[in-house]
Amino acid sequence: MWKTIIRRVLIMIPQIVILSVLVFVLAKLMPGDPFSGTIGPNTDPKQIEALKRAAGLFDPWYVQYWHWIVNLFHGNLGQSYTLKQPVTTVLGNRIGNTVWLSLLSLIVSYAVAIPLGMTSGRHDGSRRDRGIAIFNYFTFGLPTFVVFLLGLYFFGYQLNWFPTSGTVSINASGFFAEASSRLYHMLLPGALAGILGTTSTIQYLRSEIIDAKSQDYVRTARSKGVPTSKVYSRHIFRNSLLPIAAFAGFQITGLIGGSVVIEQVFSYPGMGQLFITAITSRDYSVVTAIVLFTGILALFGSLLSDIILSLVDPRIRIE
Amino acid sequence: MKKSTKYITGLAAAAALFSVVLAGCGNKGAQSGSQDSASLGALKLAYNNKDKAIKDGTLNIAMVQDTPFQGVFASELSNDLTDSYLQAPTGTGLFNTTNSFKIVDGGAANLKLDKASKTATITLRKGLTWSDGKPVTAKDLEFPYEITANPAYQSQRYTDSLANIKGLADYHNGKAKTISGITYPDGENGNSIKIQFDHMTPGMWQSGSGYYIESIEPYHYLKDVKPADLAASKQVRQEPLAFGPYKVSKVVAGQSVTYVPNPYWKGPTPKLKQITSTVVSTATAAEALKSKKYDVAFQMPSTAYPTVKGLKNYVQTGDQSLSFSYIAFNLGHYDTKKSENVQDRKTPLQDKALRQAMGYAMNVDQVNKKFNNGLATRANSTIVPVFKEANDPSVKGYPLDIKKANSILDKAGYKWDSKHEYRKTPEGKSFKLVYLARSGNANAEAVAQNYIQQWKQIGVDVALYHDRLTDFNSWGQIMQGGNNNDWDFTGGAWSVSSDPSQMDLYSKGAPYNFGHFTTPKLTKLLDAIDAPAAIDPKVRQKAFYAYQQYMQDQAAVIPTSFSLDWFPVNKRVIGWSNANDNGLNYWANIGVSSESTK
Repeated sequence: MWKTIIRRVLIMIPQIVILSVLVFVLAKLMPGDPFSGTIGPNTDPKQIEALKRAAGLFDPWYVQYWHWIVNLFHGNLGQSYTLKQPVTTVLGNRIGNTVWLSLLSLIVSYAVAIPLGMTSGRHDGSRRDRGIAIFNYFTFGLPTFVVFLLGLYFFGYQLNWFPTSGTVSINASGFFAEASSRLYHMLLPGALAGILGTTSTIQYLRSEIIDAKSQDYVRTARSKGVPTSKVYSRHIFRNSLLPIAAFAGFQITGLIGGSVVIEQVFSYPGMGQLFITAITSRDYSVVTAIVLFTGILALFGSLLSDIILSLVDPRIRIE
Repeated sequence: MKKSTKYITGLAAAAALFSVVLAGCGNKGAQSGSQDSASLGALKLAYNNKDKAIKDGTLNIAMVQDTPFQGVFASELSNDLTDSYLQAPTGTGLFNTTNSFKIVDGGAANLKLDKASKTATITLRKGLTWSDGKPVTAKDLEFPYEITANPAYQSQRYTDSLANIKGLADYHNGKAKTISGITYPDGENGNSIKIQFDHMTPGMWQSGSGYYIESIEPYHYLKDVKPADLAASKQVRQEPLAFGPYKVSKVVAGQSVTYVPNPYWKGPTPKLKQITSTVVSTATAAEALKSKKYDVAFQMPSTAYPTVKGLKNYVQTGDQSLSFSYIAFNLGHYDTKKSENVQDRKTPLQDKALRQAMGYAMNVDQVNKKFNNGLATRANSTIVPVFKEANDPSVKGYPLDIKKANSILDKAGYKWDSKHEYRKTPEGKSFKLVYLARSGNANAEAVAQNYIQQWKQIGVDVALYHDRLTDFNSWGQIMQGGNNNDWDFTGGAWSVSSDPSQMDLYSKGAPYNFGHFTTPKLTKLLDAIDAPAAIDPKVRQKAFYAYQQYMQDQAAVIPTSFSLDWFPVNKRVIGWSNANDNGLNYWANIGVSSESTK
């Protein structure tokens, strides 16, 4: 297996090179540039042109690309044109927020979905199953934007249980106070996003369990006299996790992608929003850094998915 | 606080403005330009709270926007409206002004202009001290010129107007190590600088004219930061120094700022123990005020107005914004070699009758009412009514009048086609105009389609550029190229500086004259506004009036809306005012009358 993993990693190198060219060229193809939005009676077009020249925007694309790659290998992702900070600083400010929030919502999501999926699969057709189905309709059908707004409205503004904006209270000082304030700020968006993210996990788990119930190995186990709860927790559960495990690697990419909607509603500075603003303001250096980063993570995510899958299901081996 | 607006141009401001402008409403005319409440519709310029301020109160400000703020506390390096709001309590702006931005004594510094020797002497207020205890010096007055003109700092603010200062261009080009035109009458540690100009202009008496810089930076604190790193440095982002009533005590990057009184401030004692400024999303801004979380909200979306105006505990204050929106017609191109506009495009729009008719067909008031909830008024000219000496109330702009529009076209010989659907040119050719409309907010498409319907009513066939709206950056690129023939007219908005001169927008040499309308008469009229004789305010007013009457007759551009800045203020707040003459002591006098929001 190690051989295969190493081979996969080696194949990634040309993939990443192609990805970087694509990312770079596509970013440059966007109409306008980081300075085209700064026009106004108080800015001199000559000064804008001088700044563009200094930023190398008049060079041919392959020259710009070469500079970018050379800097990349020096760990320098460039300077954000609009935020006037090094891209590494910009990403550093945001990535932590997004990863922690996504992690929390992932944990909430699995913590809610796995028991619900198990229950509804085991007791399919029962009242409990129907109840869970209704829950699923809601989490699937409701627009996320509405849920976040309503959640913020009730729990934040009406009940005052949770903070309503930002990642940390401005009055928090000291490591412990700041960490707990950060967790407190994440709870509401994290829980809401987690609950909304349960639908597919519940459905996959449910149908897999219903399938497995009639499989030979289950009948064998039962006829051997294995208690029902053990049949479910040992035999069926592991097999039913397969489709979910297949996705797990990709969740890693999701972790840093962030959610524009949630970040907007909760004024939570994260990666999703950064990406969108960077695109609208043509902040090339930030756009390319984010796309390249998520692209590389997606490649690793798919590898990770394969590895997890092979761990869960001994029948599958990467060759 | 309004003072800060004068520095703003740029993407953020223009884009935000555009959405506000297109989302806005028609109330009574702003044409009078007077600063009384009538011209502000339902908004009050100031909230006169008679209550007494409590000790140790906290003021909570909501900074309404959907993205984290940038937080550069150095106006030379920032062109973001939010940043200027965030700087306000720490002291921004060098001079106090009148309501129409004429510079007066009493601010952080006083200005003395001498016509004969072509100099400006800027003298600091006595006892002005940075929040680290060091006195503000003459060098601190000069340092902003270095930041702006030295390319290593990458400031966007260096302009040709500044090059009027002797030696600044040489310094900018690297030909000189120092700026020869700025001298220190009593040394670098003294309290004044003298600026030598090449020539004097009438705008110099006006704050925001751009002929000199109106900020100070702590040289002793910033001198060791590498120029390229200054904008990202902790000295201007996390721990900026203040010379005003409050200083920044903590910044959570992109999210919130806390201020406490500046212990070295020698003006009136600040009434608050703390001020906080927090980013709140536009979607929840109204709810945040409903639950009384904040005392004041900046940059409220006009869509929230119907909800917020009904809140008993908030007073709706506001002021006329330094901005206007317009329709510009593509009549030529910009010759980049000669740096001038040439009005040479073959288009039916060269006929002023057609341009006028299109103006009269626009239902700006209705659009403002429907989409802007009282926060914009129809514009009568390209001069913002804040400048009441300059805006000519006799110029009426283009109020909706389909009959008049039709009769103008009839008279000019635009005959209807056989189906009576659209008109033909006087030469008998059918024509179709391309409208380059910007996207920006949810209403943009509806508004653009509405105007297309209006123009159809007078028989003018209009289609959108590429059959859709154009995003801001693409629009900017098309405009700046100055040579694109695929559009016939466009809608835009400008944030303007606090000098009403129109040179930067409509002169023959102005790259921002996107319509390329230029005539010898217009050049003469514009020159008259900035001529030495116009240093006399009466002469200048006459020149402004003549310019506006000519532009109205020519319909070179159709001014569409003036917008209002709207700030809901909680009833416990004391001393709130949006006037432009608030001055440096203003924030010290803000207080609250109870422990928590009312």
